[in-house]
Amino acid sequence: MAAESLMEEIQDLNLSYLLLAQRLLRKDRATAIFRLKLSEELADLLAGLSGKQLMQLARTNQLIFRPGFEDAGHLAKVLNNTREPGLARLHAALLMTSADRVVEQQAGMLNHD
Amino acid sequence: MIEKSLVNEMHQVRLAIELIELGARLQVLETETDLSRGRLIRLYKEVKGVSPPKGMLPFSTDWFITWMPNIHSSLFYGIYRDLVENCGCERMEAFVKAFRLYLEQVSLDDGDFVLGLTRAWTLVRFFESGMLELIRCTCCGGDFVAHAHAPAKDFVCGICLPPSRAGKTRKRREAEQQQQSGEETIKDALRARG
Repeated sequence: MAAESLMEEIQDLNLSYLLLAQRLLRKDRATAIFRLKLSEELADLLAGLSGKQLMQLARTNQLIFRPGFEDAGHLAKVLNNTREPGLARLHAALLMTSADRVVEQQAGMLNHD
Repeated sequence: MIEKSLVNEMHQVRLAIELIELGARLQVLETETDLSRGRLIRLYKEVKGVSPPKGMLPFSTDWFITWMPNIHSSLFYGIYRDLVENCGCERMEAFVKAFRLYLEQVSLDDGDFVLGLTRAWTLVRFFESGMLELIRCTCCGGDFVAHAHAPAKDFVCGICLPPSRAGKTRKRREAEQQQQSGEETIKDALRARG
């Protein structure tokens, strides 16, 4: 039973996410792409989905969106910073704006190391 | 031909109004729109109800490197960069949207808006002229504004490793405000702002 209700929650969350994404994208495409961290292609695809298609996408036992943080180590540093002077939220936001590049640059960074 | 320029002019006026509302100085408007100085001054007076401030814009890159401004500048520029590179925005569109997103994020924290629109604009211009760059913090992985050609190796940002007296001002300010909530002198107000 517990597993079933968790499944329902996941599907509800998926649907809420898709509906929110569509609303954001219709209101202001660029700002929405920033907030949702989608590629432009995916954003345009999501924006144009029908209600039936949204339901199809939402009905799965996996979440269809990922965290905006890529690196657990970096996030831990942000959250567990003992010297941090009340800037954790700002710091986390900043980290997410940088996160897009983390994947692309990882190859380069490894070379430096 | 005439029709086209009218539409273009309307866009320019709309952009100018938006920038003025967000706090742009006249120099920003003169650079980013084709409207004449006279019209911009009139527009400014209509929107703000006062004459535009005179004097030069801040022209030093150093302000963006100091502690709190650096954090706010880095957040703003991170948003701006993402909008330009990943969200299909043109330069000024991205600039206005990034500034709104920055204000939105800071207001979540009830923080001060350290970075004004004109400062944000000069920041973008400094990046465009290669005077500033982003450096990645080796501790948290965030991208931070730095002087061009600053040593990037072992760079740690101002949040991961705040300077020893950083943040003290806010506490001090709050303590001051509590103490002097009754007796507000102009002198105190000035010090609290600085």
